[in-house]
Amino acid sequence: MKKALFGFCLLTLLAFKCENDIEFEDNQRLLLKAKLIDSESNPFGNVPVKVYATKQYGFDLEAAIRSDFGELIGSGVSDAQGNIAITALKPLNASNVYALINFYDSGFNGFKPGTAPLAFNFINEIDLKDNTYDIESIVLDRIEPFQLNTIRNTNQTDTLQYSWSYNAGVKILGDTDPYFYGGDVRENGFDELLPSEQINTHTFNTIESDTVLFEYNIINNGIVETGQLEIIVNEQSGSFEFEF
Amino acid sequence: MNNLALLNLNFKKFGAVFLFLLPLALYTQKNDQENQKPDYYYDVLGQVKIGFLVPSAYGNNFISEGYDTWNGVHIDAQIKLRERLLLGLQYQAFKGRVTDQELVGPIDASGITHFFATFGYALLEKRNNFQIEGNVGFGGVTLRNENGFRRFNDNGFAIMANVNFSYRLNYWLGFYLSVQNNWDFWSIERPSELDDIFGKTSFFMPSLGVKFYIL
Repeated sequence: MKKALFGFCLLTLLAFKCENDIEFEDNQRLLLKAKLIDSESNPFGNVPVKVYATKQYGFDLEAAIRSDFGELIGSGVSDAQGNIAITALKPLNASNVYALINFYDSGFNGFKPGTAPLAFNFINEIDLKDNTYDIESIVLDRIEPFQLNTIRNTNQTDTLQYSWSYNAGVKILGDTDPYFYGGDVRENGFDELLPSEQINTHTFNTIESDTVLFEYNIINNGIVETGQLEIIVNEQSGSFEFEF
Repeated sequence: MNNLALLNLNFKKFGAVFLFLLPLALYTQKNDQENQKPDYYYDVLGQVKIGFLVPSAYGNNFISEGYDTWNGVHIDAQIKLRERLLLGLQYQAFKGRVTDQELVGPIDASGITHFFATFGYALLEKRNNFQIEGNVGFGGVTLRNENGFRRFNDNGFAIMANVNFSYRLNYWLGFYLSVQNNWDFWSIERPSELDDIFGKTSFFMPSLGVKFYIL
């Protein structure tokens, strides 16, 4: 009885495991090439890169960062010139092939302090030519402090209610939807500026190439004005003022 | 472990096998001097060698640069076609642990197997306990790769050449030392940039062991 139960459990486990597991093709090797640079085109050396493949659809960023979304097919570190040349195994029937660049083993932190880790799902973005995925250049962005100021200027009577959202953690490239399975990398804030207040200041860290979404309502016995702004971080010099 | 230390270790292992075989050789040589050997002593049908293999990959390729190879086993069996001509099969197997996954891919370890059809020629007179043979072989090589619980293979065509030194101890037993080189030509589909690394591998494959004579 015990043997039968053990056998049943083993078969169930194997069946479940085989459904999602990636197998590798015999007699095949791939090459993943890329050059890592910063936003001023300087090379980024000694940055870890891991390449995964999975049969699962969608993209679960949190699971990917936990190394729990697919199988590792290649890994390496960029050289002093920022070049990556990783030999990878060729997965069978992969729905996603993605690279995690500049990540610690787990968590949303960058391996290089002050630089955003990057997830790039390139299976539908880059053609496999001569068994090579040539990603060319990848920009690793800095994470910089950003100041959002709301300032009362001409309007002395109304209340400003506003919210903002920003990317505090991971740069996403390619065919990835971090919202599909959770793993939302954006942070949110909410506040209001009362008639008795002149200025509110909020400081947070965000990715230099990303955007801050700012939504507001001006209220005086009901909403008198509403709006939404998309603030491109690297077009500002570290701060943005909303005056009303 | 550097190459010199590895060579030293392999030399010690070879020495241990040799020290095991030496007393046997001296004992049977004494017996041979006492007993006149009949003609049929030399009319062997074939021979089987089983030995300790010390593989060493060299050159600029994925095995020499990305693996730490372990010692293995060498087995070959040959039948005598004519006075000096031998025809047979050879099997060599050993394992290697991957030390550079960036170069090789995320593989933990691989089992490396060579199969050859062999053609040999005995160089010395058959009425001699000491024998030298030259052999060439044509066959295949297989890499059985392990990645966690997953297994997948790489294959290729292989050729080899060796020189065997053997000493016959009695009717059915002797020992041998083989100095062999294998050249592998892999069927791995790879980017042209990796042709040099994944196209060919070369192994120096000395082995030492016992030789059984089939009368």
